[in-house]
Amino acid sequence: MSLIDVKNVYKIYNEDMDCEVRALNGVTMTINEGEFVAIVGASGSGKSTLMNVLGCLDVPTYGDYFLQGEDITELTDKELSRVRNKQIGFIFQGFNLISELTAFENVELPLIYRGNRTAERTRLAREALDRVGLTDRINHYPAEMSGGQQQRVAIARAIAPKPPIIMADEPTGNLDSKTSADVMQLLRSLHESGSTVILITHDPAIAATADRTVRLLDGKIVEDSANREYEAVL
Amino acid sequence: MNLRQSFRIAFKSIGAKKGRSFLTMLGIIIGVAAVIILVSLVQGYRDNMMAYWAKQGQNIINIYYSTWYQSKNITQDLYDYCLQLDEYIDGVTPSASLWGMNVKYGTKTLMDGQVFLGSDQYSICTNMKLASGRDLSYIDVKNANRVCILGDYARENLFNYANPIGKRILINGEPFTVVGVYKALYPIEEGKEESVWMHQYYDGQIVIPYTAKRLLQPSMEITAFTVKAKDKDSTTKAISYLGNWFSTRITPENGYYDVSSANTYIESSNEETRMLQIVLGGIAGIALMVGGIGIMNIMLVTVSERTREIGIRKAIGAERRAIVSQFLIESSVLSFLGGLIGIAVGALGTVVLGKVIFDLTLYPSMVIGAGAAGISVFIGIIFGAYPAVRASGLQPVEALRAE
Ligand SMILES: Nc1ncnc2c1ncn2[C@@H]1O[C@H](COP(=O)(O)OP(=O)(O)O)[C@@H](O)[C@H]1O
Ligand SMILES: [Mg+2]
Repeated sequence: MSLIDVKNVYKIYNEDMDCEVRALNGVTMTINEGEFVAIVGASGSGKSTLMNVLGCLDVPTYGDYFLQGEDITELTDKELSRVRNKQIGFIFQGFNLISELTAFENVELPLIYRGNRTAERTRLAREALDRVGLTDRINHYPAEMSGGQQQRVAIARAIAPKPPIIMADEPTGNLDSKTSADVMQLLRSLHESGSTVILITHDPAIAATADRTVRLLDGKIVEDSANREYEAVL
Repeated sequence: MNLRQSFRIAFKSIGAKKGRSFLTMLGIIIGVAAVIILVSLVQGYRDNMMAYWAKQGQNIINIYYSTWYQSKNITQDLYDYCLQLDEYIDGVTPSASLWGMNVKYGTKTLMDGQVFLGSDQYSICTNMKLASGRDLSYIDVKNANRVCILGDYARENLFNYANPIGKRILINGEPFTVVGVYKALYPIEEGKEESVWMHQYYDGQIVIPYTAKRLLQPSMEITAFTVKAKDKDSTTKAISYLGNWFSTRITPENGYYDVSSANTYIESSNEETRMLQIVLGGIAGIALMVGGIGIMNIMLVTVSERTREIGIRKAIGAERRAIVSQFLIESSVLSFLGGLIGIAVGALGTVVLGKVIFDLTLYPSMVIGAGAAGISVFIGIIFGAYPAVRASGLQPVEALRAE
């Protein structure tokens, strides 16, 4: 059984209207546990839409999505929250930290929603912040940190509950090349320690570090290849 | 995710957004305080006026007359006529005083003592109560006895703590025996300046039988009377009877008379303050509304910001219930706190302004306060929870898209 199993997924905006947009136009794919997948494609090709569906942040218009064999499209809002909280760590291009909370409090938040006790929360949040190298910044507010540091806080928040799947939508899109390299290094090491990592990027060099590349065009998968083949195509 | 954690998150959020939290509370504080202060001030002023009239006695008819030509003294006639009106009238007394009387007891002199000419019904008509001794009697009046009743201030000054009953005082050299002492009508109240001269004025009186005036000022004519009617209706009836009685004796050709009561004045001023209360209450209501709109505004301005926040929270696994309870707790705490502070500020403002403006010790109207606080707390909670109820039902991506 694969970890992620997407069958004929459509995401259609303004269906049956003149301005209908098929952000996803029949996507079928599977991702196995422990894979490191890069999703690439031109801007507007549907990468974020796909990722949002995979991350249970959005529901497909049509199609099936099985996560660990569970039919996601059948779940209630509450059950979806559970899945997001326990199974998936999501990293956004725009960080999406809560600006009024410190680094530590941001990282602690998913643990609160998960119902961890204070001691456990503190331990896990510190561990995550240590892992992203922000041990000395835990009481800083997002505004007091650089973009790279903020993204690392966001990563710490994603990994603190130790979800099996990490999803990152252009995590380096707002960062310079040096801090991008740091962030990629982190994702790489997460993958090495067993997490399934799904990453959107339009940087071929970054995509090359993944094991597998899925290319989207107009909401359809036009290429799905293991990395060596991808390099060969280049 | 339990309630305690909802509280933890809500309090964290309140503390983190101090500016917005404060502004939200400010709207409630101002609205509630304004309502309490305005309504309580008018209410207090009105109560105080009512209390004043109650002290003075209600259903009092004031009679005044004057004649161009020397007329026969009508005091006795009027007194007798009032006895006939006993269905409506409790008492009648001349309302006349002799100024500048030299009042002495031993070596003590009463400065600014005022000698009143009274009938045996003087205390009924003036709402004075005996503290000790007896009142003037019909015989005292009939025989022009040399007796007197002392007001509290007069007693204080002439006798201090000694018992004045049975003692003789000298009024312009004429001896009068003290037979009674009145309770203070206006005791001096701590920190209330006006109570000092009210006490001097109302309680500085010495009442003698009106017939005894011939010992002191024989030429003086009594032209004013006070009549105490039984109730409101009796007041109206008695006024018309007394008017008729005067009209058979005094015509515009030979004089002038006036029979009137303060009832109408009390009623109209009561009506006036009632109007004032409605108007100010309305203004306060508007203040409350503006405060409420302020709250709504702050809450709604932050809806998109908060919608994003809700998107983030949902994305990392917050359940809808957790978000709604966070926002509900947040806005309830803020609103209640604002309401409480508003009540405190309103109460303080009422007391302080009451002192400054009216020199009265006013009590804030807590019913109004609770009502005002209730309304603004309601608005606060509704509009504080609105973004949560709306946005927590969205897919996280939709909430995150909020600009
Ligand atoms: N809420 C929306 N309403 C209408 N169209 C949308 C919406 N979100 C995305 N789209 C459209 O869907 C397509 C795919 O968007 P997206 O998945 O964000 O692309 P990518 O991330 O690959 O740049 C684009 O054409 C975009 O304009
Ligand atoms: Mg995108």
